[in-house]
Amino acid sequence: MNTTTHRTLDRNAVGVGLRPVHMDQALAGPPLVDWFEVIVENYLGTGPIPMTNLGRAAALVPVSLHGVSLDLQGTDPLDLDHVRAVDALAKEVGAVCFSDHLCWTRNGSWHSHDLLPTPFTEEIAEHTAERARLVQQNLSVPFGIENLSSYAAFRDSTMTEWDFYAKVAKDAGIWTMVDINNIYVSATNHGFDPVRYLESIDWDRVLYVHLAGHTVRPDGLRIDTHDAPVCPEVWDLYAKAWALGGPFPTLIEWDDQFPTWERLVEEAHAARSHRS
Amino acid sequence: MTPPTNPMSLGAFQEAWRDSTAAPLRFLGKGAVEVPESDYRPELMEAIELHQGLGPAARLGAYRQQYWFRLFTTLQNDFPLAGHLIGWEAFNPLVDRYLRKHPPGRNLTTLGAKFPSWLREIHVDPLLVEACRVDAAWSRTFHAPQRPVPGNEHLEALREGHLDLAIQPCVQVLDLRRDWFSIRPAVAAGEPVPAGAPPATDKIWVLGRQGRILSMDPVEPELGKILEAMRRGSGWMNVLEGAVTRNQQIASKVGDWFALGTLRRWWALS
Repeated sequence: MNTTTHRTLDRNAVGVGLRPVHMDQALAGPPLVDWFEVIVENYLGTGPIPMTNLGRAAALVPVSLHGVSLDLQGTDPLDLDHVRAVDALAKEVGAVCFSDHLCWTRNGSWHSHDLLPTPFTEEIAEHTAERARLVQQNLSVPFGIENLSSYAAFRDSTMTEWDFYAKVAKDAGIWTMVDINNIYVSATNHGFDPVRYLESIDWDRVLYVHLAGHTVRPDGLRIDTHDAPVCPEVWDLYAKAWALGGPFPTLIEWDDQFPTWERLVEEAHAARSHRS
Repeated sequence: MTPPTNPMSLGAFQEAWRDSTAAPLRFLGKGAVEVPESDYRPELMEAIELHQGLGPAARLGAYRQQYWFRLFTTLQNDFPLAGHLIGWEAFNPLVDRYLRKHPPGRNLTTLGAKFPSWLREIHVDPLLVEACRVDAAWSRTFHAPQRPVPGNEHLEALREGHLDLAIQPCVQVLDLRRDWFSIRPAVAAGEPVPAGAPPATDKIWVLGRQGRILSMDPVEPELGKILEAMRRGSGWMNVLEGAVTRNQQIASKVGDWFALGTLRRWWALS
């Protein structure tokens, strides 16, 4: 593993997921955050409008690429054309890294357009690590995997989620991108201790951290909707994470019920007040 | 944790999940949807842990709801004129039928590409088909790639006939009975617009893109035919030669048409 290239983001940086709804304001003035993360699928095989915007964003601040369709835990052949396209985009905009999720997203010709869980077993961890290693081999930037928020856990699991996550990253020789909201959502939905999860993380392997808001359904199930501010419980968990593994770059995701650009920036900078 | 006695293979697990989550919803009318537990594969139901009183059906249901919600909202966002014309309650069952015939691929920006032609196949109101053609063209124009634009340095070669013009992939030609473009921006922005279809018109429109701005121009039928032929791959000079041979009266308009296309950035290097 290359131990220097991932340090191109300042470890105290705060950033936001840049979405089209905020593009004009984000690009209009001096940068108000330290970096932007963009959804890579929005910029692959698309027209010049999104690409021009991405180029302007990358000229302002560092950009990281984040994916939602890698299908790392899938059983269909890994789509290396997709990985190479991501790499070409990363080179074009000088991206600092690429991340995608510890999940599966397709089966045959069916695309879920969602991030789907699997049982946690040694066999599936090895399968996933092998594919993750292949992704990194085809990328010129660091590759990180993000932990999932999930609504179902499985009787076939033989490991905890955090042991599974750590094993995949370590065996593949890649990075992690830890979503603290996802840890909280899954911990609440499945009844495990989120602090135990944080304590298991190898913080030297963490590219950066995600924070977001979520929704609680009437039946109590928490859904990772990214449509609200970060909740107090997740800020508390973030503070614990900072104490355990800080400093690390921190990014706010907000993908629905969008706030104003100013409010989003404010949410990102709020992270600084939860660091001790 | 105790190892399971008979775990499903990862492939079998994912197939069972796919079949359960992608099972179509059942529309009961007035926006109500039925989601029976029998839609879920039994081996998957058995594999899911029970916690906090929430069983497998509720947990799988969260994924199934998200899957369908994403597809429906994608098409609702892509076809605002259709929603305006018939309302979402009537639109959603059509989407349900369409998705059974045309399941989503990897890229959701093309999810509705075949929606207008499918609507025509099932013989819905031609007004709805036309509204959806406009919406689909809007989306194609926005997402189309940009080809190199001819510059002053190419004028000589164009005049001499050494170079021909092609059309930008973003340019769409639409023969419309209603003035959809007068209401689409407001409808898409959720602003108040009088119910029903917009006023009648009988024009050929050209939808194009200048930088980040979409342009809409009514054009003469002859120019519409020329641009449509160029969309099918013919060059400007080639199409023009045939058109002028058939109708010599258009020769005097060619200069204006070329200038309009240059202004609107319709042209590309062939």
